[in-house]
Amino acid sequence: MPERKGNRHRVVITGLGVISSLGLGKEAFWESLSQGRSGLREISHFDPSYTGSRLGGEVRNFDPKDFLAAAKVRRLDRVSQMAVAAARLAFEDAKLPSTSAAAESIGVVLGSGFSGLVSTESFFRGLLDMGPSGANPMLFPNTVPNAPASQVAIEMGFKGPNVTLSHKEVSGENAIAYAGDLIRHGRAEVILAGAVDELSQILHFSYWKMGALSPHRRGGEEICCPFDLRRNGIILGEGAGIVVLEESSHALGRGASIYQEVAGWGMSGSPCPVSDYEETGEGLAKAMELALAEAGLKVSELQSISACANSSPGLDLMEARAIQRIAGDRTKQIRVSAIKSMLGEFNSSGGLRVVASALSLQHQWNPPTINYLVPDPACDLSLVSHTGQAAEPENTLINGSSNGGSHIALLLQRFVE
Amino acid sequence: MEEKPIDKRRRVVVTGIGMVSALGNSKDAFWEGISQGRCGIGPVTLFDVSGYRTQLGAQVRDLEPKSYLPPKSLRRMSRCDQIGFVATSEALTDSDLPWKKVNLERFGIIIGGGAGGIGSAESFYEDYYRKGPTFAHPLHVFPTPPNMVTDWICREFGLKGPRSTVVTACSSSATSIGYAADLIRYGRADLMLAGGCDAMCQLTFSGFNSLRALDEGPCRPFDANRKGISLGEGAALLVLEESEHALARGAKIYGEFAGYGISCDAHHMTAPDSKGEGAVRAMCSALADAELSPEEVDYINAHGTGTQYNDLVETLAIKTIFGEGAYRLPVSSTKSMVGHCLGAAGGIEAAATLLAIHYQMIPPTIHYENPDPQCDLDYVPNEPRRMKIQVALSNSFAFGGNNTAVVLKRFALPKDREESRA
Repeated sequence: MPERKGNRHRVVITGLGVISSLGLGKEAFWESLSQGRSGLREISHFDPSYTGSRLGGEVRNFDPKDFLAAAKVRRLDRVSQMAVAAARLAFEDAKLPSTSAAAESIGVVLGSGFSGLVSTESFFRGLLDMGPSGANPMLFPNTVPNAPASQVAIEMGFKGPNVTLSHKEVSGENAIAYAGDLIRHGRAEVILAGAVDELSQILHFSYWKMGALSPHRRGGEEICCPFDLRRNGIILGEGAGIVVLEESSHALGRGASIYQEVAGWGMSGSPCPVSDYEETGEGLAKAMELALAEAGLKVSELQSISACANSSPGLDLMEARAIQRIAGDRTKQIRVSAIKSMLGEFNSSGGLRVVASALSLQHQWNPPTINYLVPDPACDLSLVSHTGQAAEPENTLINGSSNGGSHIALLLQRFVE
Repeated sequence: MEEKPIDKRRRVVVTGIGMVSALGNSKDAFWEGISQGRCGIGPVTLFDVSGYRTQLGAQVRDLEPKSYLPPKSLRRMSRCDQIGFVATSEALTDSDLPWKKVNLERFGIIIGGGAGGIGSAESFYEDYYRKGPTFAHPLHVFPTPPNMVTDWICREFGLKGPRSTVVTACSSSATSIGYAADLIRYGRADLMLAGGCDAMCQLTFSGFNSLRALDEGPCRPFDANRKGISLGEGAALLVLEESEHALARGAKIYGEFAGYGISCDAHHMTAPDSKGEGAVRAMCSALADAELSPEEVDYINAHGTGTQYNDLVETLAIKTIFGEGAYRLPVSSTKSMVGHCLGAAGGIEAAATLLAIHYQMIPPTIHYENPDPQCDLDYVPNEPRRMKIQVALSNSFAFGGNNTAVVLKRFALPKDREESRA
C-alpha cells in the first residue's frame, strides 16, 4: 500500500514528452529554450496572407512515421499524431515497463482547445459540397474533442481514467491539476497528463477575425514580447507537451528517476467578460496562493515563476498585478520567465510549460523572456531576459490564466522523500 | 485500486436541479414526461435534415432565453450556451441558496460539453468557405470553444471557485459531476455546479448519419429491432453541496453523490470492446468509490443508446458484475424519450436517476416491443415502475472508449446524528 504524507498520495513527475516548435524531444526543446531561441517564424503550413499576421510557432520536421505504424498514420489526424508522439516520448523517458499488467492503473488526461479542428473542417467541407453523402465516416471520429487522448490510450493500451478538458488557455494546466487529483485520490497510479493543439488556417483566421493576433489592426510590429510596452496581441503556436505523473511510492518502488513533485495546485475564477482577461489580478493571485498553501510554502520561499503572459496587453498586466499582489515587497526577488515569448500562445501551452519548468529545475537554469526591450512600468517584475540565467531554484510556480477569467497555478518543487 | 483514503471524505449532496430537454424546459416538465413514458423525439427543424436516414430528433422547443439574459449577451452565445444557461438558472433557483451568505470563492463549476458551439462555427465556416473569408462574421466563431458556457455562467452568477470544462464526448457530463464532487469531497470547494449541455448541429447529425448509427424511427434501446440512436439536445445542471453546508441551511436534498469511476477501453474509437470490460471497470470502480457492493444497487439508468452494439455490450457488462442478480435489477434508458444528448447525456441521466430516487419511481424504456434474446434483462418496458430505490447507478460510455459510471443514493444522516436529532 502506498505511503502518504499528510494523509494523501504525493504526485511526482517521472517523464517528459515534447513535440514543439522548439524541437522534438526534451533535449532539443531545452537546448532552444535555455538559449532563448524562438520557435516563432513565418508560417509555412498554410497561407496566412488574408490576415495581417504571418508568424506562427509551427512544429517542423515532425514525421508521424517515427511514432506510428503506417496504417495508423493515415487514420489519425495530425493533432492526434502529435499527442501519441509526445506520449510515447514521455513514457520512454519515464522508463516505465511496457507490460499490459499495469494498464488499468495508467490513465491519460489531456487538455486541448480545439483538438481535431482540421478534421472537423474537412468533414464539414464534405457536407457543404455534397450534402449528407459527402460526410466522411472515416473523418468523423477525429472530430470529437477527446480523440487525441483516446488515441493515446488505444495506441499504448492505457485502460485507466481517460479524460479531455477544454478550457481555453488553461486547458493544459487544468489537465495536469485534474490528473494530480486523480492520483492523490487513488484513482490511478500513473497518468500521462498534458495538452495538445494544432495551428491551422481556419484557427489562425478566426483569431485574426476576433482581433487577438499581433500586430493589432491599428498597427505595430508583429512580435511576441511579454511584459514589454510594445506588446500588441498574441502569435499562435502549436505542439504537444505531456508529462508522466506518478504516485510517489510507485515511482520510488520501481527506482524511477524523479524530476520534481507537483506539490500543490490552485484553481480560481473571476467573473469577468467572457472574451476579456480579468484586470485586477485578484483571481490569479488567489490560485497562486492556493497552490503555495497546498505545497506548504510561504510566498517568501517562492523562487521563480513561469508566467502565462502572452504579449497581449491585458493578460500581461493582469499577471504582473497578481504577482505584485501576492509578493508585495518581494516581487523583485522572484525570477519570472515568460516562455510564450518563444512558443507563442495556444490553448494547450500549459503542457509544454510544465515540461519547461521541470527541465528548468533539473538544469538549474531559468529560461529567458525574449524580445524584452522596452519595459512596461506597470509590469515591474524581475524578468529573466535575453539569455537565461543560472539559478539554484528549489521551486517554481506555473501560472495559467485564460480570457473569461479562469486561473490555475501549479507548484513544482524538488522532491524530498 | 483497493486502497481507501485514510482521511474521512466530506459528503456531497444534490440540492438543486435545472433542466432543458425535448420534454420541456424545466426539471418538472422533464420528470412529468419521463415518469409517464412520453416521447420527446420528433421532427428536427433546426436545420435541413432532408437526405438523412432520419428526420427525427429530440429537439428543444420554446426556449425563452430572453427572460434570463439581455439581447446583447444572447447574440454572443451559441444555442448550446443558451440551453446551458437556462438550465443553470433553474438549478440555482431550485437550490434556494441564500445568495448573500454564499462564499463565492468556494463555489465553482465543471461543465461537460459535446459539440457545444460548433453549431455557430458552422455558420462561420459556411460563409468563410462559400462566400470568402471577409464574409465570415466574428460573432459566429466567438462562441465556438466548449468552455464559453462555463465562463458565461461564472460571469453572470459571480462564481469564483474552481472552473473547468470536460469534453469526453458522450461521457463528458458524467465525468464533470465526478470531478466536481471530488473538489467538494477533498476540500477545494463547498458548492459546485456540475452537469452538461449540448445542442444539435449538422456536424453530429451528419456524423452519426455517416456512421449509419441513426435509427430512422424514434430509438428503441434494448429492443431486438433497434437500429441506432435518436440525437437529442438539452442540459442538466446539478447544484452539488457539501452535506453539512446543506444541512446547516435546511436545504432540500434530492440525493447523495456516492461515487464515480472512469475507465478506458483502449480498444477502438467508435466501437466498445466486445466483452464490455471497460464498462465493467467503470461501474466497479464507481461502486468501490461509493463503498457499496453490487447487491445494494436498486436501479441502473443505462447508457442504452439504441445501437446494436452498445446495448448488447452494456447488458453483458451488467451481467458480469451482478451475475444472477442482474435479472432482478431494473435497467432503463431515458434516451428512448429524450434522445442521445451527447455532451449533456450524462448530466441529464444523472438528473433522471436523482429524480427517480427522489420520487421512488423508475422511468421506463419506451418503444420496447420485441425482446432480444441477447438483451434479456428487465428494461422496465414502456411503463414506469414505483419501487424502493436506495442506490442507483448511471452509466455513460463515449466515443474513444471513455466510460464513466456515477453512483447516487438516498441521503441519510449518520446513525448517531439521527438519534441526536430525535
